[in-house]
Amino acid sequence: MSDNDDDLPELGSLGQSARTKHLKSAKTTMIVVGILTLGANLFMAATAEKVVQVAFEQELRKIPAGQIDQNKLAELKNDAVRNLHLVSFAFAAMGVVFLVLGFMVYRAPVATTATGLVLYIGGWATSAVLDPAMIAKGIILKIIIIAAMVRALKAAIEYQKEQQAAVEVG
Amino acid sequence: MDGLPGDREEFDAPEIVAGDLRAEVDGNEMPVADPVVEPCGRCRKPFSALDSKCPHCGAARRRAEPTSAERRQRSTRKGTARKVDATWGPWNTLLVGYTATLLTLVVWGLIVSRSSLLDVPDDMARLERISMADGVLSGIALTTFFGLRKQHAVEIHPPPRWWVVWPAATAAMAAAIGVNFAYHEAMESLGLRVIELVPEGTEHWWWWMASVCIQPAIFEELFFRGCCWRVMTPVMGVHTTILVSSVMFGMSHIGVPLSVPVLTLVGVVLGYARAYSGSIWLPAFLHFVHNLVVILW
Repeated sequence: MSDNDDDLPELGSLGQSARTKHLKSAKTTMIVVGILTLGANLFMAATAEKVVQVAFEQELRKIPAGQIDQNKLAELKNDAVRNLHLVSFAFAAMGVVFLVLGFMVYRAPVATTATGLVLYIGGWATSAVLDPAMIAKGIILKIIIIAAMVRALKAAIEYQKEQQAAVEVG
Repeated sequence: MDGLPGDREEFDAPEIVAGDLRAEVDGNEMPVADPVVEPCGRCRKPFSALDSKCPHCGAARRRAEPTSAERRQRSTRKGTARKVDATWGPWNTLLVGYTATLLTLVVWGLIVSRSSLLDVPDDMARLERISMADGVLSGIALTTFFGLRKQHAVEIHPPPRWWVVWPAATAAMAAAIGVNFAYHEAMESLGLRVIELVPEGTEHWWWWMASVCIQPAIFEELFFRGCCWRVMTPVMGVHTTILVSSVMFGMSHIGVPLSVPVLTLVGVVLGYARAYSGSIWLPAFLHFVHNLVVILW
Protein backbone atom coordinates (compact mmCIF):
# COMPACT_ATOMS: atom_id res chain seq x y z
CA MET A 1 0.00 0.00 0.00
CA SER A 2 1.15 3.46 -0.67
CA ASP A 3 1.86 6.19 1.79
CA ASN A 4 -1.34 7.89 0.72
CA ASP A 5 -3.43 5.14 2.25
CA ASP A 6 -1.72 5.65 5.58
CA ASP A 7 -2.63 9.31 5.39
CA LEU A 8 -6.40 8.68 5.13
CA PRO A 9 -7.11 8.20 8.84
CA GLU A 10 -5.17 11.40 9.48
CA LEU A 11 -7.67 13.30 7.32
CA GLY A 12 -10.56 11.82 9.34
CA SER A 13 -8.90 12.67 12.62
CA LEU A 14 -8.45 16.26 11.44
CA GLY A 15 -12.20 16.64 11.14
CA GLN A 16 -12.71 14.90 14.44
CA SER A 17 -10.21 17.14 16.21
CA ALA A 18 -12.09 20.16 14.81
CA ARG A 19 -15.31 18.76 16.22
CA THR A 20 -13.67 18.01 19.55
CA LYS A 21 -12.49 21.61 19.57
CA HIS A 22 -16.09 22.79 19.02
CA LEU A 23 -17.29 20.53 21.81
CA LYS A 24 -14.62 21.95 24.08
CA SER A 25 -15.77 25.47 23.23
CA ALA A 26 -19.37 24.36 23.88
CA LYS A 27 -18.29 23.08 27.28
CA THR A 28 -16.54 26.35 28.05
CA THR A 29 -19.50 28.41 26.78
CA MET A 30 -22.02 26.51 28.86
CA ILE A 31 -19.89 26.61 31.99
CA VAL A 32 -19.27 30.35 31.60
CA VAL A 33 -22.98 31.00 30.91
CA GLY A 34 -23.84 28.82 33.91
CA ILE A 35 -21.45 30.63 36.26
CA LEU A 36 -22.61 34.07 35.05
CA THR A 37 -26.30 33.16 35.28
CA LEU A 38 -25.89 31.57 38.70
CA GLY A 39 -23.73 34.37 40.08
CA ALA A 40 -25.83 37.24 38.71
CA ASN A 41 -29.10 35.75 39.93
CA LEU A 42 -27.81 34.81 43.38
CA PHE A 43 -26.54 38.37 43.70
CA MET A 44 -29.96 39.64 42.55
CA ALA A 45 -31.69 37.41 45.12
CA ALA A 46 -29.36 38.61 47.87
CA THR A 47 -29.97 42.27 47.07
CA ALA A 48 -33.67 41.93 46.18
CA GLU A 49 -34.93 43.99 49.12
CA LYS A 50 -32.53 46.82 48.36
CA VAL A 51 -33.40 46.78 44.64
CA VAL A 52 -37.14 46.89 45.41
CA GLN A 53 -36.60 49.67 47.99
CA VAL A 54 -34.74 51.83 45.46
CA ALA A 55 -37.38 51.22 42.76
CA PHE A 56 -40.21 52.08 45.18
CA GLU A 57 -38.47 55.25 46.36
CA GLN A 58 -38.14 56.43 42.75
CA GLU A 59 -41.84 55.87 42.16
CA LEU A 60 -42.89 57.41 45.49
CA ARG A 61 -41.15 60.69 44.68
CA LYS A 62 -43.78 61.25 41.99
CA ILE A 63 -46.69 60.86 44.48
CA PRO A 64 -47.56 63.39 47.22
CA ALA A 65 -46.74 61.93 50.70
CA GLY A 66 -50.25 62.24 52.11
CA GLN A 67 -51.79 60.03 49.41
CA ILE A 68 -49.78 56.92 50.29
CA ASP A 69 -51.39 54.06 52.21
CA GLN A 70 -48.45 52.65 54.22
CA ASN A 71 -50.10 49.24 54.79
CA LYS A 72 -50.78 48.82 51.08
CA LEU A 73 -47.24 49.98 50.31
CA ALA A 74 -45.69 47.40 52.66
CA GLU A 75 -47.83 44.69 51.08
CA LEU A 76 -46.76 45.71 47.57
CA LYS A 77 -43.09 45.74 48.62
CA ASN A 78 -43.38 42.25 50.09
CA ASP A 79 -45.00 40.99 46.89
CA ALA A 80 -42.30 42.59 44.74
CA VAL A 81 -39.48 41.12 46.87
CA ARG A 82 -41.06 37.66 46.80
CA ASN A 83 -41.53 37.77 43.01
CA LEU A 84 -37.97 38.94 42.51
CA HIS A 85 -36.68 36.14 44.76
CA LEU A 86 -38.68 33.59 42.81
CA VAL A 87 -37.48 34.81 39.40
CA SER A 88 -33.85 35.03 40.62
CA PHE A 89 -33.86 31.53 42.11
CA ALA A 90 -35.53 30.11 38.98
CA PHE A 91 -32.84 31.62 36.74
CA ALA A 92 -30.11 30.59 39.22
CA ALA A 93 -31.43 27.02 38.91
CA MET A 94 -31.13 27.40 35.15
CA GLY A 95 -27.50 28.44 35.71
CA VAL A 96 -26.91 25.20 37.65
CA VAL A 97 -28.47 23.25 34.76
CA PHE A 98 -26.06 24.97 32.35
CA LEU A 99 -23.13 23.96 34.56
CA VAL A 100 -24.30 20.34 34.68
CA LEU A 101 -24.80 20.32 30.90
CA GLY A 102 -21.34 21.81 30.41
CA PHE A 103 -19.70 19.08 32.46
CA MET A 104 -21.67 16.37 30.62
CA VAL A 105 -20.86 17.54 27.06
CA TYR A 106 -18.58 14.60 26.22
CA ARG A 107 -20.96 12.04 27.67
CA ALA A 108 -23.99 13.04 25.58
CA PRO A 109 -22.87 15.73 23.11
CA VAL A 110 -26.08 16.28 21.13
CA ALA A 111 -28.45 16.06 24.07
CA THR A 112 -26.47 18.52 26.21
CA THR A 113 -25.78 21.07 23.46
CA ALA A 114 -29.38 20.91 22.16
CA THR A 115 -30.80 21.29 25.69
CA GLY A 116 -28.37 24.13 26.39
CA LEU A 117 -29.36 25.95 23.21
CA VAL A 118 -33.08 25.46 23.82
CA LEU A 119 -32.75 26.59 27.44
CA TYR A 120 -30.73 29.65 26.47
CA ILE A 121 -33.18 30.77 23.75
CA GLY A 122 -36.14 29.93 26.02
CA GLY A 123 -34.56 31.78 28.95
CA TRP A 124 -34.02 34.84 26.78
CA ALA A 125 -37.65 34.70 25.61
CA THR A 126 -38.92 34.26 29.18
CA SER A 127 -36.89 37.20 30.47
CA ALA A 128 -38.20 39.25 27.50
CA VAL A 129 -41.78 38.44 28.48
CA LEU A 130 -41.12 39.36 32.13
CA ASP A 131 -39.20 42.52 31.25
CA PRO A 132 -39.25 43.71 27.59
CA ALA A 133 -36.01 45.67 28.12
CA MET A 134 -34.21 42.31 28.36
CA ILE A 135 -34.67 41.73 24.60
CA ALA A 136 -32.04 44.31 23.71
CA LYS A 137 -29.88 44.07 26.85
CA GLY A 138 -26.53 42.48 25.91
CA ILE A 139 -27.94 41.40 22.55
CA ILE A 140 -24.52 41.08 20.86
CA LEU A 141 -23.19 38.82 23.61
CA LYS A 142 -26.37 36.76 23.46
CA ILE A 143 -26.09 36.34 19.69
CA ILE A 144 -22.43 35.31 20.04
CA ILE A 145 -23.38 32.72 22.68
CA ILE A 146 -26.21 31.36 20.48
CA ALA A 147 -23.89 31.18 17.44
CA ALA A 148 -21.29 29.32 19.52
CA MET A 149 -23.91 26.89 20.75
CA VAL A 150 -25.29 26.32 17.23
CA ARG A 151 -21.76 25.53 16.02
CA ALA A 152 -21.31 23.23 18.99
CA LEU A 153 -24.58 21.46 18.20
CA LYS A 154 -23.47 20.96 14.58
CA ALA A 155 -20.16 19.54 15.78
CA ALA A 156 -21.92 17.36 18.35
CA ILE A 157 -24.21 15.84 15.71
CA GLU A 158 -21.21 14.95 13.53
CA TYR A 159 -19.25 13.70 16.54
CA GLN A 160 -22.10 11.45 17.68
CA LYS A 161 -22.61 10.09 14.14
CA GLU A 162 -18.92 9.21 13.94
CA GLN A 163 -19.09 7.52 17.35
CA GLN A 164 -22.13 5.51 16.23
CA ALA A 165 -20.39 4.52 12.99
CA ALA A 166 -17.27 3.48 14.93
CA VAL A 167 -19.38 1.31 17.25
CA GLU A 168 -21.16 -0.32 14.28
CA VAL A 169 -17.86 -1.02 12.48
CA GLY A 170 -16.06 -2.17 15.62
CA MET B 1 5.53 -0.63 -24.18
CA ASP B 2 2.12 -2.25 -24.29
CA GLY B 3 -0.70 0.11 -24.65
CA LEU B 4 -3.01 0.30 -21.68
CA PRO B 5 -6.74 0.40 -22.29
CA GLY B 6 -7.66 3.99 -22.79
CA ASP B 7 -4.36 4.97 -24.36
CA ARG B 8 -4.74 7.32 -27.29
CA GLU B 9 -2.88 4.96 -29.63
CA GLU B 10 -5.50 2.23 -29.25
CA PHE B 11 -8.25 3.84 -31.30
CA ASP B 12 -8.53 6.32 -34.03
CA ALA B 13 -9.92 9.46 -32.59
CA PRO B 14 -12.19 11.26 -35.05
CA GLU B 15 -11.00 14.58 -36.20
CA ILE B 16 -12.99 17.19 -34.40
CA VAL B 17 -13.53 20.42 -36.19
CA ALA B 18 -13.87 23.40 -33.92
CA GLY B 19 -17.52 24.31 -33.85
CA ASP B 20 -18.85 20.72 -34.16
CA LEU B 21 -20.92 19.60 -31.22
CA ARG B 22 -21.10 16.00 -32.26
CA ALA B 23 -18.77 13.61 -34.03
CA GLU B 24 -19.50 10.21 -35.42
CA VAL B 25 -17.73 7.20 -33.94
CA ASP B 26 -18.44 3.86 -35.59
CA GLY B 27 -21.61 5.27 -37.05
CA ASN B 28 -23.06 6.33 -33.66
CA GLU B 29 -23.41 9.93 -32.67
CA MET B 30 -21.85 10.75 -29.35
CA PRO B 31 -21.32 14.03 -27.56
CA VAL B 32 -17.86 15.50 -27.66
CA ALA B 33 -16.69 17.89 -25.01
CA ASP B 34 -15.30 20.81 -26.97
CA PRO B 35 -14.19 23.65 -24.77
CA VAL B 36 -13.76 26.04 -27.68
CA VAL B 37 -17.40 25.82 -28.80
CA GLU B 38 -19.88 28.22 -27.25
CA PRO B 39 -23.45 29.16 -28.16
CA CYS B 40 -23.98 32.45 -29.95
CA GLY B 41 -25.37 35.24 -27.80
CA ARG B 42 -28.04 36.06 -30.42
CA CYS B 43 -29.03 32.89 -32.34
CA ARG B 44 -27.68 30.42 -29.71
CA LYS B 45 -26.18 28.23 -32.46
CA PRO B 46 -22.72 26.84 -31.59
CA PHE B 47 -19.63 28.43 -33.04
CA SER B 48 -15.92 28.40 -32.35
CA ALA B 49 -14.59 30.66 -29.66
CA LEU B 50 -11.75 31.48 -32.03
CA ASP B 51 -14.14 33.26 -34.41
CA SER B 52 -14.89 36.90 -33.70
CA LYS B 53 -18.33 36.68 -35.39
CA CYS B 54 -21.02 34.04 -35.48
CA PRO B 55 -20.94 32.23 -38.90
CA HIS B 56 -24.74 31.72 -38.72
CA CYS B 57 -26.09 35.18 -37.93
CA GLY B 58 -23.00 37.35 -38.08
CA ALA B 59 -23.40 38.66 -34.54
CA ALA B 60 -20.27 39.86 -32.74
CA ARG B 61 -18.94 37.49 -30.11
CA ARG B 62 -20.46 37.92 -26.67
CA ARG B 63 -21.25 35.55 -23.83
CA ALA B 64 -24.72 34.03 -24.14
CA GLU B 65 -27.13 34.71 -21.30
CA PRO B 66 -28.15 31.45 -19.65
CA THR B 67 -31.54 30.14 -20.75
CA SER B 68 -34.24 29.55 -18.14
CA ALA B 69 -33.51 25.81 -18.35
CA GLU B 70 -29.82 26.48 -17.68
CA ARG B 71 -30.71 28.76 -14.77
CA ARG B 72 -32.92 26.02 -13.34
CA GLN B 73 -30.12 23.52 -13.72
CA ARG B 74 -27.69 25.87 -11.95
CA SER B 75 -30.10 26.48 -9.09
CA THR B 76 -30.61 22.73 -8.76
CA ARG B 77 -26.84 22.32 -8.52
CA LYS B 78 -26.74 24.92 -5.77
CA GLY B 79 -29.61 23.13 -4.07
CA THR B 80 -27.73 19.85 -4.31
CA ALA B 81 -24.69 21.48 -2.78
CA ARG B 82 -26.81 22.74 0.08
CA LYS B 83 -28.32 19.31 0.55
CA VAL B 84 -24.83 17.91 1.15
CA ASP B 85 -25.21 19.20 4.69
CA ALA B 86 -28.14 16.85 5.10
CA THR B 87 -27.53 16.17 8.77
CA TRP B 88 -27.75 19.79 9.85
CA GLY B 89 -30.60 20.83 7.50
CA PRO B 90 -33.47 19.28 9.51
CA TRP B 91 -32.02 20.65 12.77
CA ASN B 92 -31.88 24.07 11.18
CA THR B 93 -35.55 23.83 10.14
CA LEU B 94 -36.55 22.69 13.63
CA LEU B 95 -34.60 25.42 15.45
CA VAL B 96 -35.92 28.13 13.10
CA GLY B 97 -39.48 26.89 13.73
CA TYR B 98 -38.90 26.84 17.49
CA THR B 99 -37.35 30.31 17.51
CA ALA B 100 -40.24 31.63 15.39
CA THR B 101 -42.69 30.15 17.91
CA LEU B 102 -40.92 31.81 20.85
CA LEU B 103 -40.61 35.09 18.95
CA THR B 104 -44.34 35.06 18.17
CA LEU B 105 -45.10 34.49 21.85
CA VAL B 106 -42.75 37.29 22.95
CA VAL B 107 -44.15 39.76 20.39
CA TRP B 108 -47.70 38.75 21.29
CA GLY B 109 -46.91 39.20 25.01
CA LEU B 110 -45.44 42.64 24.34
CA ILE B 111 -48.41 43.74 22.23
CA VAL B 112 -50.85 42.56 24.89
CA SER B 113 -48.95 44.18 27.78
CA ARG B 114 -48.36 47.48 25.94
CA SER B 115 -51.79 47.93 24.39
CA SER B 116 -55.43 47.42 25.21
CA LEU B 117 -55.61 44.57 22.72
CA LEU B 118 -57.24 42.13 25.13
CA ASP B 119 -58.67 44.80 27.41
CA VAL B 120 -62.06 44.67 25.75
CA PRO B 121 -65.34 43.93 27.49
CA ASP B 122 -66.61 41.78 24.63
CA ASP B 123 -65.62 38.14 25.09
CA MET B 124 -65.91 37.47 21.37
CA ALA B 125 -63.53 40.33 20.49
CA ARG B 126 -60.91 38.89 22.87
CA LEU B 127 -61.33 35.45 21.36
CA GLU B 128 -60.89 36.81 17.84
CA ARG B 129 -57.59 38.43 18.84
CA ILE B 130 -56.31 35.36 20.68
CA SER B 131 -57.24 33.23 17.66
CA MET B 132 -55.01 35.41 15.47
CA ALA B 133 -51.97 34.43 17.58
CA ASP B 134 -53.15 30.80 17.51
CA GLY B 135 -53.32 31.02 13.72
CA VAL B 136 -49.72 32.25 13.45
CA LEU B 137 -48.47 29.51 15.81
CA SER B 138 -50.41 26.86 13.89
CA GLY B 139 -48.91 28.13 10.64
CA ILE B 140 -45.38 27.86 12.06
CA ALA B 141 -46.05 24.30 13.28
CA LEU B 142 -47.50 23.26 9.90
CA THR B 143 -44.68 24.88 7.91
CA THR B 144 -42.06 23.15 10.05
CA PHE B 145 -43.90 19.84 9.79
CA PHE B 146 -44.07 19.98 6.00
CA GLY B 147 -40.47 21.21 5.85
CA LEU B 148 -39.49 17.99 7.62
CA ARG B 149 -41.80 15.67 5.70
CA LYS B 150 -38.88 13.67 4.27
CA GLN B 151 -37.46 12.89 7.70
CA HIS B 152 -38.45 9.70 9.46
CA ALA B 153 -38.60 9.14 13.19
CA VAL B 154 -37.04 6.14 14.87
CA GLU B 155 -39.68 3.99 16.55
CA ILE B 156 -39.54 1.49 19.39
CA HIS B 157 -39.52 -2.11 18.12
CA PRO B 158 -41.55 -4.14 18.63
CA PRO B 159 -44.36 -1.64 19.32
CA PRO B 160 -46.16 -2.43 22.58
CA ARG B 161 -49.84 -3.37 22.44
CA TRP B 162 -52.24 -0.41 22.23
CA TRP B 163 -54.54 -1.83 24.91
CA VAL B 164 -51.64 -1.65 27.35
CA VAL B 165 -50.22 1.68 26.20
CA TRP B 166 -53.41 3.76 26.09
CA PRO B 167 -54.63 2.95 29.66
CA ALA B 168 -51.08 3.22 31.06
CA ALA B 169 -50.53 6.59 29.39
CA THR B 170 -53.93 7.84 30.57
CA ALA B 171 -53.04 6.84 34.14
CA ALA B 172 -49.67 8.60 33.83
CA MET B 173 -51.42 11.73 32.53
CA ALA B 174 -53.88 11.61 35.45
CA ALA B 175 -50.87 11.55 37.80
CA ALA B 176 -49.28 14.46 35.90
CA ILE B 177 -52.52 16.45 36.17
CA GLY B 178 -52.48 15.77 39.93
CA VAL B 179 -48.91 17.05 40.16
CA ASN B 180 -49.92 20.09 38.10
CA PHE B 181 -52.74 20.95 40.53
CA ALA B 182 -50.57 20.37 43.60
CA TYR B 183 -47.85 22.59 42.10
CA HIS B 184 -50.25 25.44 41.36
CA GLU B 185 -51.86 25.10 44.82
CA ALA B 186 -48.37 25.46 46.32
CA MET B 187 -47.69 28.52 44.14
CA GLU B 188 -50.97 30.12 45.23
CA SER B 189 -50.21 29.39 48.87
CA LEU B 190 -46.95 31.33 48.37
CA GLY B 191 -49.07 34.28 47.27
CA LEU B 192 -48.31 34.01 43.55
CA ARG B 193 -51.10 34.73 41.11
CA VAL B 194 -51.99 31.88 38.80
CA ILE B 195 -53.34 33.01 35.42
CA GLU B 196 -56.95 32.05 34.62
CA LEU B 197 -57.00 30.61 31.11
CA VAL B 198 -60.73 30.98 30.49
CA PRO B 199 -62.88 33.80 31.96
CA GLU B 200 -65.69 32.67 34.27
CA GLY B 201 -69.22 32.74 32.89
CA THR B 202 -68.15 33.02 29.25
CA GLU B 203 -70.85 32.63 26.62
CA HIS B 204 -68.43 31.32 23.99
CA TRP B 205 -67.33 28.24 25.81
CA TRP B 206 -66.83 26.17 22.65
CA TRP B 207 -64.51 28.71 21.08
CA TRP B 208 -62.45 28.91 24.27
CA MET B 209 -62.24 25.14 24.28
CA ALA B 210 -61.09 25.13 20.65
CA SER B 211 -58.46 27.76 21.44
CA VAL B 212 -57.15 26.27 24.70
CA CYS B 213 -57.73 22.53 24.16
CA ILE B 214 -58.02 21.59 20.48
CA GLN B 215 -55.51 23.93 18.82
CA PRO B 216 -52.62 23.08 21.22
CA ALA B 217 -53.49 19.38 21.17
CA ILE B 218 -53.08 19.28 17.39
CA PHE B 219 -50.38 21.81 16.56
CA GLU B 220 -48.16 21.58 19.64
CA GLU B 221 -48.15 17.81 19.29
CA LEU B 222 -47.40 18.15 15.57
CA PHE B 223 -44.37 20.27 16.46
CA PHE B 224 -43.02 18.71 19.67
CA ARG B 225 -43.94 15.07 19.13
CA GLY B 226 -43.91 15.20 15.32
CA CYS B 227 -41.15 17.52 14.10
CA CYS B 228 -38.81 17.11 17.09
CA TRP B 229 -39.24 13.37 16.86
CA ARG B 230 -38.34 13.24 13.18
CA VAL B 231 -35.19 15.30 13.65
CA MET B 232 -33.91 14.11 17.01
CA THR B 233 -34.59 10.36 17.25
CA PRO B 234 -32.21 9.35 14.42
CA VAL B 235 -29.36 11.14 16.22
CA MET B 236 -30.16 10.94 19.93
CA GLY B 237 -32.46 7.96 20.35
CA VAL B 238 -35.93 7.91 21.86
CA HIS B 239 -35.34 8.64 25.56
CA THR B 240 -33.01 11.62 25.07
CA THR B 241 -35.42 12.98 22.45
CA ILE B 242 -38.22 12.81 25.03
CA LEU B 243 -36.09 14.78 27.49
CA VAL B 244 -35.01 17.50 25.04
CA SER B 245 -38.43 17.87 23.37
CA SER B 246 -40.04 18.13 26.83
CA VAL B 247 -37.69 20.97 27.76
CA MET B 248 -38.61 22.65 24.46
CA PHE B 249 -42.30 22.06 25.16
CA GLY B 250 -42.01 23.51 28.68
CA MET B 251 -40.02 26.55 27.55
CA SER B 252 -42.55 27.29 24.82
CA HIS B 253 -45.14 28.12 27.52
CA ILE B 254 -43.47 31.42 28.34
CA GLY B 255 -46.89 33.08 28.48
CA VAL B 256 -47.35 31.24 31.80
CA PRO B 257 -43.76 31.20 33.15
CA LEU B 258 -44.79 29.79 36.53
CA SER B 259 -46.06 26.65 34.83
CA VAL B 260 -42.91 25.90 32.81
CA PRO B 261 -41.44 23.27 35.23
CA VAL B 262 -44.65 21.30 35.60
CA LEU B 263 -45.38 21.50 31.86
CA THR B 264 -41.94 20.05 31.18
CA LEU B 265 -43.04 17.08 33.28
CA VAL B 266 -46.30 16.87 31.30
CA GLY B 267 -44.12 16.93 28.16
CA VAL B 268 -42.23 13.87 29.42
CA VAL B 269 -45.52 11.96 29.86
CA LEU B 270 -46.67 13.02 26.38
CA GLY B 271 -43.27 12.04 24.98
CA TYR B 272 -43.46 8.52 26.40
CA ALA B 273 -47.04 8.27 25.13
CA ARG B 274 -45.69 9.13 21.66
CA ALA B 275 -42.81 6.67 21.98
CA TYR B 276 -44.86 3.66 23.04
CA SER B 277 -47.93 4.33 20.88
CA GLY B 278 -45.90 4.99 17.71
CA SER B 279 -48.04 7.97 16.61
CA ILE B 280 -49.10 11.42 17.78
CA TRP B 281 -52.77 10.45 18.26
CA LEU B 282 -52.34 9.34 21.86
CA PRO B 283 -50.31 12.40 22.99
CA ALA B 284 -52.79 14.66 21.14
CA PHE B 285 -55.68 13.03 22.99
CA LEU B 286 -53.87 13.27 26.35
CA HIS B 287 -52.90 16.89 25.69
CA PHE B 288 -56.56 17.68 24.94
CA VAL B 289 -57.68 15.93 28.15
CA HIS B 290 -55.00 17.72 30.22
CA ASN B 291 -56.00 21.18 28.97
CA LEU B 292 -59.71 20.40 29.29
CA VAL B 293 -59.30 19.31 32.93
CA VAL B 294 -57.21 22.42 33.66
CA ILE B 295 -59.85 24.81 32.30
CA LEU B 296 -62.79 22.96 33.86
CA TRP B 297 -61.32 22.79 37.38
